[in-house]
Amino acid sequence: MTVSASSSFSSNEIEQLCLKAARGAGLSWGLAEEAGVAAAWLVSQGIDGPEILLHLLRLGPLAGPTLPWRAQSLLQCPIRLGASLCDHADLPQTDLAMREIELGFVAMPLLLLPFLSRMAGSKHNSIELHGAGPRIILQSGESAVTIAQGTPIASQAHLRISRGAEQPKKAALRHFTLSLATIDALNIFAMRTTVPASEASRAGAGASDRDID
Amino acid sequence: MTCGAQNPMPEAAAFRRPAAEIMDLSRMGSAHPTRLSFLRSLLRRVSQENWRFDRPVWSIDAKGVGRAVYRAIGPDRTYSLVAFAHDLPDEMRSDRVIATAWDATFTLFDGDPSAADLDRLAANVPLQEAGRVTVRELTLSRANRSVRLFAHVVERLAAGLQPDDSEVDAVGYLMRTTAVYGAGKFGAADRHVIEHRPELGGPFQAEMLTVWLIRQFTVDIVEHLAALRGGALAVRLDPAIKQRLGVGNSTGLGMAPFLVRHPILLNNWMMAREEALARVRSLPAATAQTLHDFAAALAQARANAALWHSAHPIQIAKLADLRRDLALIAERLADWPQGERPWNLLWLWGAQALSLEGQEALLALMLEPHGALVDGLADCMTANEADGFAINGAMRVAEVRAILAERYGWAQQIDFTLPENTARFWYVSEEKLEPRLGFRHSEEGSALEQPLCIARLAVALGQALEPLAPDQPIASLLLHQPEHRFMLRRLQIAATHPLAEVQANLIEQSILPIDLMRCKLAFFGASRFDPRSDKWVRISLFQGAAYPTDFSAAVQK
Repeated sequence: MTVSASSSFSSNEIEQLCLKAARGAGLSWGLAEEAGVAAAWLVSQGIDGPEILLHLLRLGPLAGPTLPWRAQSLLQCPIRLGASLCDHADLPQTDLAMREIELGFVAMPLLLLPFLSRMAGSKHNSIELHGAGPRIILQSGESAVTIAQGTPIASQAHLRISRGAEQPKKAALRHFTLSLATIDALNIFAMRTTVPASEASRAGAGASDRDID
Repeated sequence: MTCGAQNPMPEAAAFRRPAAEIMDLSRMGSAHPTRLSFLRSLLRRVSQENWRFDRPVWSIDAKGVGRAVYRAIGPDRTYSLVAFAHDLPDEMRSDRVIATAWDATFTLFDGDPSAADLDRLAANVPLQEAGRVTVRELTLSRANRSVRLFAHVVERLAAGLQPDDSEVDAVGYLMRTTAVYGAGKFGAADRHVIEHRPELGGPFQAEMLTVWLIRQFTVDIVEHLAALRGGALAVRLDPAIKQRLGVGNSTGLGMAPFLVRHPILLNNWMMAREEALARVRSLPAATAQTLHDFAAALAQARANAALWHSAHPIQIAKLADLRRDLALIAERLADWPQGERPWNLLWLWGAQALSLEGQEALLALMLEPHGALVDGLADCMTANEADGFAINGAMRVAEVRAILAERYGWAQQIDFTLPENTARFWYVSEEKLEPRLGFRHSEEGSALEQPLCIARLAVALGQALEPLAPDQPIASLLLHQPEHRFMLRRLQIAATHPLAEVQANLIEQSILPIDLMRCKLAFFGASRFDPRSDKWVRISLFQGAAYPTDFSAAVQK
């Protein structure tokens, strides 16, 4: 575990906050759940998933994928693309046995990693993501992601996936501190899912304020 | 669930109730605690494993302010309840989740806290939601005094007298918790930190241990304050009175969505309880010992029903049903058991003769004499909701339709074009981030509805499937209509978890959220369910149960 100060937030808190923020930013409930799980997974791998998700949400609504994957010419949402790739994990559209697959233009490519790891666990043993900068290999299981040393990671890129080749030398993942600024900003998105309580609905919802039992 | 493969009684399967019966919300709203309830599991373990208890820190002044530590020492690990007692002005005492100060605040610490841990906790635990705890803490909780009973008991004990029975029975607890947070809330340890420990792997075991230790604290603090006030005159609480005191709990609408949000867990709870009932029904005969134990449990249930009060019209009617039904069961015993499978005959009689209250009480009573047969099922009641997260996008549309018909046929019966069937909506309040239930047609905010009405989502999914070819993979629907992703995930969970869904329209005009709470609280082991409106309730936990001091003389006085 390389996460340091962020461990003052539980995985459950991160997942729930990111779920609500994603919903507040307009993703459907099912995709918002994916966003929450994805961000918490990245934190478990030593990557600041909440901050990356925040950058994504600030871009506003992005396109979803189409089939074939490369046909989408617009900048794609990695949550929508990742979820669709997983949905197609056992279908011919993600068959990596004989070929690479072009995914098109994708925002915040690191948010694809949890999905590719799930795909790797579901079918392929290992998946390599190309185009984001460094070599990135995904596997299922404990240390699911290997990011090669050197090149910085792009904030948007044309991506491809292939069967994973040999492991590159793994970069030491940065210790990161989940910043309170990130939490606050995600909370602003999350608050968009809430409604000001009316007097009518407040009444009877809990114990009265003065209770002498 | 891995338990199925180990089932020692496959013949019981023929006696299981259908999902439509089990998951009916009115029936869930008549649930009674059973020996599979979580506080019972905790007490069985503590007893079987000879846990020890002590109180290494007790530093409470004459105003009732200070700190205390209670240790629960199990075979492998120690857990410590860290308690902070406060001097709360009466005008600040509120059970609402929006309160900011309490009579006492607590955390369950994983291990033995050091002095530095206690100082860190002293700076955070009294703040509750506004403070932060860490992975060393398993729960965060707070409690308020029952002003009426707490003051009465201190006054009496200080004067060398015992409290009035009528006062004790009217309230039933010295303090009531207004929240017990676990599972990673406010920085606390995530569920995965404890899920593989046998003693905390079961549902809500850390929360139950917290509340049970709080019960000891509530008695210790009244005796302490009475001793300081009365000096040599003061007496300790009579053990018989002490046993009748539980820990109160005040629970609002916030708890209601839990069962809907945890479909695998709900399935496993229900499945274990239903399997237990089916096993008892399938027994070929009733032994003398089980008959004796059943009669004893019935007598206890009748005594409990006599003391169980509520001012809420719905609950008053249900209590009348319960008392009448328990009397009917007692009468029925006159010419029972006879015939083959006597427990099944008793059950079938009850299904005809008793109200829902009485039937579900009978279920609890029938499990009571059969610990050896059913207690192992408690190990099947845990769940990891993440196991149901991955969607199988290769599932064909025809199969999705078949599951929809099999598991959500009840939802298809609801006409959502009628205004009364969509009259309510669930939302999260901006002021306290708590679930609320609004009126769709007269209040703002329904665009921000929470996805709790599964019936309507199921119907919408069915409509979306209509134009699709049967052999098309469901992934293609999700690609273009991601709004169905949430429901499809649930549907695939329900396919393998037949008791995952509450079979009710949770947004209909007459929905009773207290029915969801009653079911969950019965699984906790709560007694004396007392609704104060259709949205919030009072209950009592551990009433009549043993205290940590009963297991160990080491709790210092």
